[in-house]
Amino acid sequence: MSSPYALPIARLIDELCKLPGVGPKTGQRLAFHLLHRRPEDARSLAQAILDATEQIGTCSVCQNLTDTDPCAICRDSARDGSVICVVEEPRDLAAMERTGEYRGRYHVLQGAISPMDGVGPEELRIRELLSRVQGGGVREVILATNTDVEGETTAMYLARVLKPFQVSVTRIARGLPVGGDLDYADQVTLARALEGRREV
Amino acid sequence: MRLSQLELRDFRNYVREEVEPGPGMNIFSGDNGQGKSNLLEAAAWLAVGRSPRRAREADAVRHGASGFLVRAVGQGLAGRMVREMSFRSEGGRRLTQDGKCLRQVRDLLGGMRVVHFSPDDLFLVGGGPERRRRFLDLMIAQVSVGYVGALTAYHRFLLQRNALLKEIRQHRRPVSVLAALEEGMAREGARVTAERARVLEAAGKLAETAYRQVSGGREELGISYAPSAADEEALRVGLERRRGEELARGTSLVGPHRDEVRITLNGRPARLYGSQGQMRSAALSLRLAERRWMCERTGEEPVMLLDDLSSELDPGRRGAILRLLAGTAQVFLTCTDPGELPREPEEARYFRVEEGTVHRER
Ligand SMILES: Nc1ncnc2c1ncn2[C@@H]1O[C@H](COP(=O)(O)OP(=O)(O)OP(=O)(O)O)[C@@H](O)[C@H]1O
Ligand SMILES: [Mg+2]
Ligand SMILES: [Zn+2]
Repeated sequence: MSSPYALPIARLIDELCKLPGVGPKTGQRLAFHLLHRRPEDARSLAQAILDATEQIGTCSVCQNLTDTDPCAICRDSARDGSVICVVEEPRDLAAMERTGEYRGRYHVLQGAISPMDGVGPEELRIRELLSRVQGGGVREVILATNTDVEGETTAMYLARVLKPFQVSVTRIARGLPVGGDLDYADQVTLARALEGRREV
Repeated sequence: MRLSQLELRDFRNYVREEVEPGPGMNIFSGDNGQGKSNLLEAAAWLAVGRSPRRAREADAVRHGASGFLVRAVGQGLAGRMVREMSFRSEGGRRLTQDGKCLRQVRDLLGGMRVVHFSPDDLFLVGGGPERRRRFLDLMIAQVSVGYVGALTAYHRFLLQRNALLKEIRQHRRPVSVLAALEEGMAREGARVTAERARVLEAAGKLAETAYRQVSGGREELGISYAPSAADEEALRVGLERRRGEELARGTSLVGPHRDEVRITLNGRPARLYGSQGQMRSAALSLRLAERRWMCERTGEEPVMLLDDLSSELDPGRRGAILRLLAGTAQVFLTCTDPGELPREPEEARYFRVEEGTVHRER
């Protein structure tokens, strides 16, 4: 079926529909919203997308998204390098930072173990974590993956592979709602979960 | 919990109908195929978010219509509430309470508690074990959000584990991931089993008492829980021990999804030896127990939706059940002939159901 819209509009709708959570209806709505804005607004949005995708890479130490390598947190000498907080996604790191309670370093796995989606330990940044721990100077690893099934499995897996090393491995407390995502938890809950972490 | 209004639009054979039930017994009578079961289905669906006959939303849209709407006004411990479920063929389902969207099952359960009995409940006694597990699960889920969490997590673990077993069999994954997964799985699974066993301990006794009353003390019902693994440790060990077999079959063989509720009549398995009427009585006793148990746990009577109560029951049993029902709960009861109900309850409201319309009588 041919699109009822002029080609450039149809193309824009097409591209927007490739975004997660955007269906045909939302795609159309967004497209027309953009068309009604001033041209310089559109240009600035396009430029922001280009800049972000071109300038952002992963930090070679913590695997977080960054525009410098190593990232700002990994370079910050005021932070405690002997504690590593392991999270699934960059947005979980951001959530942890917002609590203002944590002064150690991070490691971003870029996902969680989920056999249904074909994601196992090899698909995550676990090897990089192990070599950081192996490199020495690490006293504690805090497992702050989500409390859902995949996050829990990932935490248990990490606890097992970290066993041979001389580090204390802790898991954030389950004050989080069951099946909860870290970045949805409010800051108080998250801070408390961090405080109440236990050995695994 | 009491409903003061139930509205159906383009739901099954109803075009547009509004029913105002009374606070106690409500009797809906009508010939076969007129819409009695449909009415009760709508109320149950609204309460637990799922059709008791496991229909999909699209099936319930009146032939020729493009969507349906079911709405109930109720009065519970928490005050007045309005719940609405709408479905459009394009656009899907929407459930709201007092205008607020209910997105997940856990937002929905507990706000409006019901007990639904239907002729299909014969399989609760005579059918496979999954029917009895589902009965227990839905009953507990209506009072415990924590249970819903554990059950949802356990099922997700199960799906993940089965996927992992397949991957391992194809040598695409090391076995070490399995042990990590089983740790959380055993914990959630044990929570599910423990809660089911604890609830059935209490509800089973209630069902046994109800059955004694229904049968006039002539028969004994026995209810017990037979878990496939008794506790977390047993489940962990079981998972580990049967790994070989499971790897070969690519599916998990121990855990709450294999638990069983045993039902006996005079000491023998009801499934194998019970008559139709006895099994029906046993199923009803379980539903009566469900009501009692919910009421004890929450301090509030659920709405009783009893579809076709009287089929296959002798007059003595019918009378006993109606006496057990009398009291504080709101009851919706359907039958083809109200004359077959023994002593007509005093303050009952009578309705006549005809081709998707409901008229109050008397
Ligand atoms: N989606 C639908 N659209 C229109 N009619 C439907 C739909 N689904 C079911 N029906 C009709 O509803 C009627 C059945 O209603 P229901 O099961 O409530 O009957 P009942 O009054 O309980 O009868 P019985 O006494 O036999 O149990 C049937 O005639 C059936 O064709
Ligand atoms: Mg019927
Ligand atoms: Zn970094």
